[in-house]
Amino acid sequence: MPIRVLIIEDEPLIVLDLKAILGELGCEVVAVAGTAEEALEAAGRERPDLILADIRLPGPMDGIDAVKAIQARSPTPVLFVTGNWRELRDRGLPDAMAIGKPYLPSVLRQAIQTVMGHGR
Amino acid sequence: MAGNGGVPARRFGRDRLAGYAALACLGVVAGVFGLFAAASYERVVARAEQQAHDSAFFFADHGSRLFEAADLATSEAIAALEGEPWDKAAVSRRAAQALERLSDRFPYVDALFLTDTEGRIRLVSNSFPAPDVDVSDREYFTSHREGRRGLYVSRLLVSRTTGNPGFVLSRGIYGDNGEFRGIAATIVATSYLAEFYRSINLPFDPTISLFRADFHPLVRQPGNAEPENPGRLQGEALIRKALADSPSTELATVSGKAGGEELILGYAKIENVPLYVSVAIDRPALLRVWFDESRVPGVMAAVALAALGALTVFVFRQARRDEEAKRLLESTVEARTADLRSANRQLEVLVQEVHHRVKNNLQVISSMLRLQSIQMNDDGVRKALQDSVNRVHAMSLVHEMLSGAGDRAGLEFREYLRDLTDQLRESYGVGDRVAIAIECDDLTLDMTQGILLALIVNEIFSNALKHAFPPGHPGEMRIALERQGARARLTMRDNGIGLPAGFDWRKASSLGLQIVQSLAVKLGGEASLTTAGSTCFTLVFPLGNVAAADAELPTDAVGAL
Repeated sequence: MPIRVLIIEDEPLIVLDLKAILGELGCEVVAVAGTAEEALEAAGRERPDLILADIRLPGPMDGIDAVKAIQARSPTPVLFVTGNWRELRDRGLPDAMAIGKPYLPSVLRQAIQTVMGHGR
Repeated sequence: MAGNGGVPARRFGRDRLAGYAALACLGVVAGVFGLFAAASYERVVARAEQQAHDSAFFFADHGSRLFEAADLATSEAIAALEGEPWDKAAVSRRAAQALERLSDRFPYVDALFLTDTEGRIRLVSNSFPAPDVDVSDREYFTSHREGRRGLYVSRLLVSRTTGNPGFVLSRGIYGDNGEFRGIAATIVATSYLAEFYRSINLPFDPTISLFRADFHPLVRQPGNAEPENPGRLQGEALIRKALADSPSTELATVSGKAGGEELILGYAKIENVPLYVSVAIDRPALLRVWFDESRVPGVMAAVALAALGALTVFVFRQARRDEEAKRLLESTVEARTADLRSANRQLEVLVQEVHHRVKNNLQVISSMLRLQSIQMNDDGVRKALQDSVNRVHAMSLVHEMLSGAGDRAGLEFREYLRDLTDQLRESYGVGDRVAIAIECDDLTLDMTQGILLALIVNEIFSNALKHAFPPGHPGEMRIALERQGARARLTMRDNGIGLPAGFDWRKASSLGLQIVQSLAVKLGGEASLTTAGSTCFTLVFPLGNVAAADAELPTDAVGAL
């Protein structure tokens, strides 16, 4: 069974890149959300195995808010893809898995394996 | 702020200290003057006591001589009677003239007169024949008639023969058998004595009194006693008590309160006469003298006190102004510091935002290049695009490290080298086949210089990973960055398969090596690539000299970036 992934990212080019890399890894992208609200709706609908989330999103809620809300309903492994590591710590997610932007496909692959290996 | 608080606190202390010193001087001057004034008052009191004592003695001595002479005149008046019966004596011009001469001899004697047993004046010094005057009701007459012998001093009275105020010194006249024949009397003019007392100019303006042993006043100067209303003797209570305590004492000084006033009082008994003299000095007189004597030092002390007072007020005002200025300065500094902190926080947020956007944009570029490479069928093109992705990552890693640098001002290059080489090994999939050894001095570069050096390392290391270690040929890359005074030396040496013979890196068509040359120029450095034994790239560049080299950057190199 391929890993079912929800991508929370508002930048279409990065989404395309992530889809290509995830495709090479044999993952299935079940939904893409450009806002936190869309992410909540998609997570409820698709019940993904993994969430790849950016922090900065348009709208009143950001990626951290969205992940927290999803986790409150159904604990799901999350990997943040962000240019701002510090914000995770400042917002009360010091143990969250994250890779920096720009990422290398190899680094992304290793991070996904680590997150899924933890069984989160 | 805490560190800066000490200096104003010391200034505050000095200002206050000066104020307290001035205040202490004020106290010392006031204290010294107070002690001087107290000592001065004591000296004035001692002098007044001495004055009262000496004056009383002097007036008593004077009185003794005066009344002794008057008594002698009285006795001589009796002798002038020559034992004649009154009817004969009363018409004796010779006897009357003798009395007149006696009276004229003593200026303080108003008149002399002789009475018969009935108290009728029979001879008088100022009139012949004697006027018909009866003194039988006078106390001095009745006293002698009732048997008193010796000298008698009357109360203050108005003479019936002269009409003047005075008192009488009298003696009884006795016959051969001792029978009472009348009296001889000398009228002493109190005006003479008052004038005499007044003429002696004594310090402290004392009141001089002549009084009988029963404290009846006869003369008082100033404020002469009147026969109709002699008044009370000044300081009577003090003298009464002193005489009661020591009746035999004939000269003494006492002090205390009497009749509602504080007095220093000297008194003395007049020798051979039942009279006393007192000299009384009251407190207002003492204070007048004291004030007079303290005036000059008092004025000096007042001037000093005023000056010190003004100085004290000035110093304390100055200290208060300084404190207010200090508080104002502190509050201003606090406000400015808060503004700066706020501005700093905003700037920090802004810098983080810029870094974030840069990295996001670099991610977009990286994603585009990668998506483009997926579309390419040509393996060379795909590798070229991957090289560009790696260049973007090398740059983004600088931003990543700078955004996480916190308060650090630049790029810690040793840490950067470790991350970059890890990333590249990961990217080219060489794993542990190529070992990395990094030796780097503590060197912090600014962002511009850091990115240039990062891209150079990226190109040289990428080249090595691509060409020096083909499968089945493991090796090692040693990277060293050392400070040499104001310059730095980068050395990258690998033990790979080496470069082709006769390879001139400056003429190579490789984009990567062209980039290295261009960036070396921008850094203001000198680069070399040697192939003797192992491949070794060396770059020596001045630290912090990038701006000067900007002008020399070839435009094609910028385009290559």
